[in-house]
Amino acid sequence: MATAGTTPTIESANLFDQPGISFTKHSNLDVLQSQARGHVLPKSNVHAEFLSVAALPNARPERVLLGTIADPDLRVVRAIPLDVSVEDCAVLVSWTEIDEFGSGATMSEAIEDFSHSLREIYHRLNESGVRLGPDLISIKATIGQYVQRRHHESA
Amino acid sequence: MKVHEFEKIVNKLGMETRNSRDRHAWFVHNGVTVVRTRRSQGNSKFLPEHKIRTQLKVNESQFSGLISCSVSKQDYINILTEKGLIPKMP
Repeated sequence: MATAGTTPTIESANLFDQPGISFTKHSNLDVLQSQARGHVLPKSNVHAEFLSVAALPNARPERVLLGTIADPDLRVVRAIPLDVSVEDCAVLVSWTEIDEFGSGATMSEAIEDFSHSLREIYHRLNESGVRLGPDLISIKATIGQYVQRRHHESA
Repeated sequence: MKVHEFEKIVNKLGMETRNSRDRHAWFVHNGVTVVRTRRSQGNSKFLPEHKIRTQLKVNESQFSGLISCSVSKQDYINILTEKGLIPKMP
C-alpha cells in the first residue's frame, strides 16, 4: 500500500541553502539591452518631421466648380469657378470675375450662401425696366455666360 | 467688419435694401443701379471687409471714410464718377 509522502516545507529565506539549489547573480540585470549603461542606441529608421499647421496638406481644395444654384428657374450652363479661402475661421468662396462671394462655417455653407446670393443678383439684374450702370451691365453679361433662365416645358 | 458698420454705410448712402436669405444693398443714383453689396444674415456673421469694399468700388482709406464720417454720400458719388461708374453730368 502506498503511503502519501509529506511535502517538505522550505522557508524562502533558506531556499538557497537547500542542496541542489544554487543562485547565480548576473552582472547585467537590465530588462532591455538598450538599458545597459554605456550602450549606444542604434539609429532609428523612423523619420520624424515637425511641421507647422499651415504647412500641413489641406484637404480643402483651392478652387471648386459650381454646377448648380438653388433656383428651379435657373440653370448653370457653364461651371462657375470659385476660389476657396479661409478667413477668421470662416470659409470664403469667391467668384472674382464679378466680385461676388459666399461665406460659412464650412465649404458647403459658403457655396450655399454664394448660390443664394447669385440667384438674388441674377433676378435683380434681369428685372424688367431696371437701369444699370456700366459695372452692373458687365456683371450681368458675365453671369449670363454661366447662368440662364430655364424654359419650363408644358406637359 | 461689424454689422453696424455695414449698416452705417448702407444708411449713409441711402442704398436700396432687400432682405432675403442675405441682406442685399443696391446703390441707385438718378434711377440707375450703380453698385451692389450684401451681408449674410445666416449663421455666419463673418463680413469679409475687403470683399465688401471691392463691391463698393472704393480703396481702403475711402472705405474707412465711409464707415467714419470723412466720406459723405456726395464724396462717394464723386468717387464713382471719377471711376466712370456714374456718367458725368453735361
